Amino acid sequence: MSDMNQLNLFGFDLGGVYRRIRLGVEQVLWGDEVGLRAWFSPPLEHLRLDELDSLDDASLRQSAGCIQVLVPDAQVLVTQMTLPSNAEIFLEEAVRAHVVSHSPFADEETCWGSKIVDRAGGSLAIDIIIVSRRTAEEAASHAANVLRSCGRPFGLSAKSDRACVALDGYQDPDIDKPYLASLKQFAVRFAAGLSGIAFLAMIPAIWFLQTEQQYNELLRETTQRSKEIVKVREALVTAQSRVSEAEDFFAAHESYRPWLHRVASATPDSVYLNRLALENDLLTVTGLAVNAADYQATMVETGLFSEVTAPTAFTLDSRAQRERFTLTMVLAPGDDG
Amino acid sequence: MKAWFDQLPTEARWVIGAALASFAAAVLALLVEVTAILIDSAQDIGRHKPRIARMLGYETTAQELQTAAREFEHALDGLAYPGSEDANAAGARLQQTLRGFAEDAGLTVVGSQLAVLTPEGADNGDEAKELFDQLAVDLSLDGPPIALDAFLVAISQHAPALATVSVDIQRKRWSRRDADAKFEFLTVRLRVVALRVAI
Repeated sequence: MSDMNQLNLFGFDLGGVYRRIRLGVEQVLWGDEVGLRAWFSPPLEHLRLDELDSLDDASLRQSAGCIQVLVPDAQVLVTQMTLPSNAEIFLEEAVRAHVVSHSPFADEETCWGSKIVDRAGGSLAIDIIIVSRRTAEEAASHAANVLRSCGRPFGLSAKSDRACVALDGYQDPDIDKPYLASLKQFAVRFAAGLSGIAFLAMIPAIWFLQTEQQYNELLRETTQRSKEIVKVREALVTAQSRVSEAEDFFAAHESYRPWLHRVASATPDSVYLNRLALENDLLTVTGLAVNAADYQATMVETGLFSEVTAPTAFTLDSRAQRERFTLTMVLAPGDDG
Repeated sequence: MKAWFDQLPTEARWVIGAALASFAAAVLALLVEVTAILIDSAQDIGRHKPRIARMLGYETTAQELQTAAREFEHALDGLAYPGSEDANAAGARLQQTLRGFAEDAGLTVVGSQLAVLTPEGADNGDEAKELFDQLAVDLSLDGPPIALDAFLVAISQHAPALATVSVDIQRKRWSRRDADAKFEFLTVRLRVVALRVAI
């Protein structure tokens, strides 16, 4: 118990949890309710102590099963005890205390065994057998003389009203070997079966992995082989994009020479241009005209320009006897000659 | 099965439940792993297939690709200075060429200035500047209109191509050499831009 009490996590005592888990495993492996033992263990043979003498060697050697030798009822004290179900983890201590209080023998002369015979109603009904050590030793010695020579493992037990109860400390260590061997064999077969199913499930994945590996290899080889032509292709793509960009750039900047000719041909001889500026598609002209408004109308009528506007008012230059003007206009797209 | 499970002791139920849950978790993990492998592999294969097919296609059309690449490189030579040439050297050569054009056309070069605009320095959103440096030459010229016309013709015929992005023409002065002839002189400021492949 002291070892159990040392199991704790963040202050929580894990001793009880550990004992319950161990109890659960024992119930699964050895309990009658789960049925594993009944399924995997060869059937137990029950023999009364007085029947041992009447058995011959040949009949004992015919079977390899285990034997429970029943101590005569007259030499067995049977008692019953009830325990709450959730106290099963303390079953051993409770039975010991019960035996100590009910045994007519001295402590060191007392042997006992217990078995849960009923779990109904949230409580455990337990049958306990109490035998004097001397009786047990004699029975064990007698049984050993008969059975050991035939290689039959045995244990001592006694019958209560409801069950056959094994006597603790008088069970041959080999008595559970056939059960454990069968259980182990089943577990191995089960694991092998599961491994087989897992392998079958993995076959498509393995196939895909192999295919992927083949494609990886093919990709590597093809990449290596076509390295040069890929470079050529990349150079082509780069050159294509550069040519495209350059063509777009030059298309966006119209040639001004045709526009200069157009302005010159559209301008009447009576109009003198002092300044002509082109930036992108914006044309600005400054000069002198007899009638600047007429000149503005003329430029509009050519259809070559849009948004023909005069940012400043026309003013009369008295020296030249003409109107001074400034006009701005946008070059019409698609007419760059 | 449920009746069998219900009649078990509580602790046995825990152990069996935990064992079954662990088993189910292991099966689920296996299924997830297998599915993940399948999906990953299928995705990888799906990615590799078109790449391999594309490269095999390149190999099949290697001759055509090489020819096309040469043609576009040749076309690019007509549009931009090569990137192998230093930008300042190319700009200086362009400036010299333009001054030569002006003088050949009969214009007097009053001043000129070169500016090299690299893609890093470009911030006007012009896409051409992302792939090209711009070699911009500002020229101040004096001369008659006919000379300006000849100069613009020379610019338009130059290879690599040149773009005049702005021009400002002012009448300089009137001069009367004799009673019948009038010579009009112009002061011209213009900016000519050439492209150089950016590296």
